[in-house]
Amino acid sequence: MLSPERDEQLAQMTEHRVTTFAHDLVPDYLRTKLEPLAENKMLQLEHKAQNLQCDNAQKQIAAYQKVVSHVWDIVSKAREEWEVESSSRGNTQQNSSVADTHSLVAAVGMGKGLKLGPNPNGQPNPTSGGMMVAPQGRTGGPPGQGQIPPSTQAMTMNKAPSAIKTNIKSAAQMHPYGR
Amino acid sequence: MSTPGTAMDSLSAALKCNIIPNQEYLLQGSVLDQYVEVLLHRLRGLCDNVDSGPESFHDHELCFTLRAANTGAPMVLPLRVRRALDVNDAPFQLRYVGQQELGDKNRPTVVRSSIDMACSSTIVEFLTELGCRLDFEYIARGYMFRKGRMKITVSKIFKMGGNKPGEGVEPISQSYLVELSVLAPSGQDAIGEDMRVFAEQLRPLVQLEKIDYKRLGNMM
Amino acid sequence: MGVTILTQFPTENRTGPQTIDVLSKRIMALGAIQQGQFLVDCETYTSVQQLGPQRTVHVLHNSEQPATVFSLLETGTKTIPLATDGLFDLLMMKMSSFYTSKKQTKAESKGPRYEIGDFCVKLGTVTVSSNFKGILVEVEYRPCVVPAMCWDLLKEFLQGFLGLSGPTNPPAYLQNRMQEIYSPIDTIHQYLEHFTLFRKSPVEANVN
Repeated sequence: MLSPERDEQLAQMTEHRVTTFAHDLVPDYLRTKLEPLAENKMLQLEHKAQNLQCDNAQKQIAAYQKVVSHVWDIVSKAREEWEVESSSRGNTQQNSSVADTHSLVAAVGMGKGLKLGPNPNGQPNPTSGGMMVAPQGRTGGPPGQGQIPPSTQAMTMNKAPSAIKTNIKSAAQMHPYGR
Repeated sequence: MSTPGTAMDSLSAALKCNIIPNQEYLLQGSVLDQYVEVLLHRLRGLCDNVDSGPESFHDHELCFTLRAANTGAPMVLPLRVRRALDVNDAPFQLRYVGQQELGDKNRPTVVRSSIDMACSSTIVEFLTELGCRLDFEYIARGYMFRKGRMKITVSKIFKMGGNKPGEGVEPISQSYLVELSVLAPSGQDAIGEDMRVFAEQLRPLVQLEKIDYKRLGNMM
Repeated sequence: MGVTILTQFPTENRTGPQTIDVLSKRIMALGAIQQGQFLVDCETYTSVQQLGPQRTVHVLHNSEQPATVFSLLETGTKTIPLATDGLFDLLMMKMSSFYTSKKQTKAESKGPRYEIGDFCVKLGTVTVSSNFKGILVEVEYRPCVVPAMCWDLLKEFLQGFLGLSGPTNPPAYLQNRMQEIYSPIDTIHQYLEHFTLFRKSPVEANVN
């Protein structure tokens, strides 16, 4: 039966998983019982578990849970700190703000945040009359009667700082296991 | 000696031969104020005229629209006038910029029709009397670089405070606007590729990309 | 560009080409040399109704300044001049839905160009939408840019070869500007003045 040579029938039967029925591999393949040392330890542990009272078991479980959650806390705090640190470092290296890009492109393209006050008459805006350039005097520029409503200005000014705040906020919220 | 052809004739001939640069290829991005020096330094190295340095400009741009109510969609024609605040006798610049060409998502740059011309200083009065309305205006101050056909501008945009231009202006955002553009006759799409390659060299400092500002208007 | 005077020359009983011929002979007898041809043309656009009160834009080209397009905007109360690059024509095409052109009013002055000493003389045949309207003579005195300083000289020169048909007073457009520096747009203003008169006049009997 035992032979160090390849056995085709065996290979076929086991779908090519076992190709030889050699003497050194067979004990492992045919083993059903644990090795003696392991077996003893298993018996000891099972014995201990059977002898354990219900209360003791509960206490032990509670203690174990406490320890695990404590370790969990430590680990998650460390993780948070680590993430904030790495993203804040990433932020300082971020050279452009997407919000700024959008506001600049929109301002230059469509006049977002730049538009003069709305004109109810539909006639040429009175400011444009002031903005007309006299052919000779260009250095001073014409005095404009700019009636830009203060609300528009306030809006633009509030936009700039908020852009930066959003960046830091979103980094903290990026934590996937948010509690 | 033959009669000189009319100006219109030569214009039509030029249009037919497709030598009039009437299209703009554009990429835009921005860089925070703190990093502008770094960007300028890098651009100085990448672009032409390494020794003479970049040209600075301080311009005032006015954006007009010519509108006419119509049954159906109103007819609107946008026109821009740009004048230099730092050079006294420089001619004004009149510009028509068309809608961004929709279409190929794969096209690396914004493509839009653009007609650029120098004009006399009477242009503002001319446009006003023509029926144009001043929609908005701003001041742009910054530097301009060239590389071959490409023009790169790094500029800070200021909102006018309603006073004379140059006084009482406040900057829009805490970044500089960076634009990479080429004016060329239509159909030269290979330019877009060259621009994209150049833009790559400016990363991660600036992300130059094609931005549809019309969409931004609805988002923000 | 020096001070330039435009003046109409009556054709009397001659045809256009005959008149030009006569004048050419006179100017060449004085020692002028022909230097090619010249062309000044004018296209007129009017605003559409939706834009409100009517405004007119005249777009002129002068072969003497080939890279420029001149425009004169007339609002009824004032006229605003503008000089731009050649691409302005392209822009006017884009504005065709706001300002339409009446092809029938396209005016042109073209003909030979002579140089004699410091003067430049152009003998133009004026046509409005291909109908002959008359003869327009343009004389430029290149060294001087202030009309008041050379008006007398120009008057003498013009009367010298145009005879009694020469002008006795400066052109209406220049009368208030005699002390100002002359520039190409002033020539354009004068052309527009004459073209407007020509457009209103009936077609000349001697068709080109």
